[in-house]
Amino acid sequence: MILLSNLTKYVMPVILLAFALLLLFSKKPLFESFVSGAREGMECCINLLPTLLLVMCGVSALFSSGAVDVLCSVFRPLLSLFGVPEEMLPSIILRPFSGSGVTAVADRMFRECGADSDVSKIACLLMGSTDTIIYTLSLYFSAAKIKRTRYAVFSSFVVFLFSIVVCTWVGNLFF
Amino acid sequence: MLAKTFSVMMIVSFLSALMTGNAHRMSGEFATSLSDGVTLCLSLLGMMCFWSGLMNVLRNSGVLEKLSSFLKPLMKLIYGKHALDEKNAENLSASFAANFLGLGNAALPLGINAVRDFEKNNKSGKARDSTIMFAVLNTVPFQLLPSTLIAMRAGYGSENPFDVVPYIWICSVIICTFAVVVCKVMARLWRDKE
Repeated sequence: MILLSNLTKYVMPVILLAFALLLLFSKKPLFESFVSGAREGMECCINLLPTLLLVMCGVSALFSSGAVDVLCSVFRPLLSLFGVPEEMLPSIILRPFSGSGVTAVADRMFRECGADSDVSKIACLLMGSTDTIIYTLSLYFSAAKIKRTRYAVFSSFVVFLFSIVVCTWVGNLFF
Repeated sequence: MLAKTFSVMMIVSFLSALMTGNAHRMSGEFATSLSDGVTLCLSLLGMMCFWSGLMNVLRNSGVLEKLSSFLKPLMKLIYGKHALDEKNAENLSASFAANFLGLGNAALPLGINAVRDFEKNNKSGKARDSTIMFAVLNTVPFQLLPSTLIAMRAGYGSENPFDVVPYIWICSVIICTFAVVVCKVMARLWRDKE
């Protein structure tokens, strides 16, 4: 496992090298592709701001009002049954409903617990391997004009609960 | 959806502020949270620009297509051979490949084409198994590098922001496999109410 985490140091350098070689040897105008892609990313990020502000405000209210503490004390027995750290609760609750909400919660978590703490890393596992459920499902089903989604919502939530357990388990095993 | 989420968050917060007497903290942290939002957005800006640029290069240089043709047999395995025609398998694998590289904007139209194709001759408004499989798998996307997470960790001074990446892959493999199994089992067990 130490080998694995040593290898991760080379992830970005290798990607950058591959990028450079691609730029050097390709006959296509790839630099222009980079610029236009980066512009798209910039717009995407700027467009995120209004949403993010609303969500940051909501998340901060949840924390400062003491709602998170109340929720934590309610769910503590359930969480500890599966070995899930208590700090994960806000991100677990928000994950199915709001992607930017989870970003806001993670921002707070990284600041308070440290980006390299085990809790933050486990939260990263969950954020990195799951997406918002409600938005994703409604997106595809409405595009296909489907009214009855049958077992889709149920299955997604089963998979999500399983994801929480898997991420905690992997985190406890390796971190 | 966001409006509802925000409303629930606010109502819950207001009630618990009443109960715990934390109203003063709530108003104090309101202003800070907004500037935190701006800081967060700015700290993500660089990474999002660079990453989208890089991924656009991969798309235009043909790497995306290669990855997509590599994924095609896997799609046939997941959805069952008879559920897919050639064009559909292409759409699906391209959409998963784009998601894999974090190209959400490119993945979305491909995915929409795929589900529309699944439901082409369906007048009942009832989802087919393959559409459900696709939608559920999209709630647990397999990503090569979650760039936002990495940018955030780097912003808070992580020693090696990439060190979680291999573990995210491990989790993703387990979770995606589980998602496929759940959908297959549910497709067998589910009885529609008429």
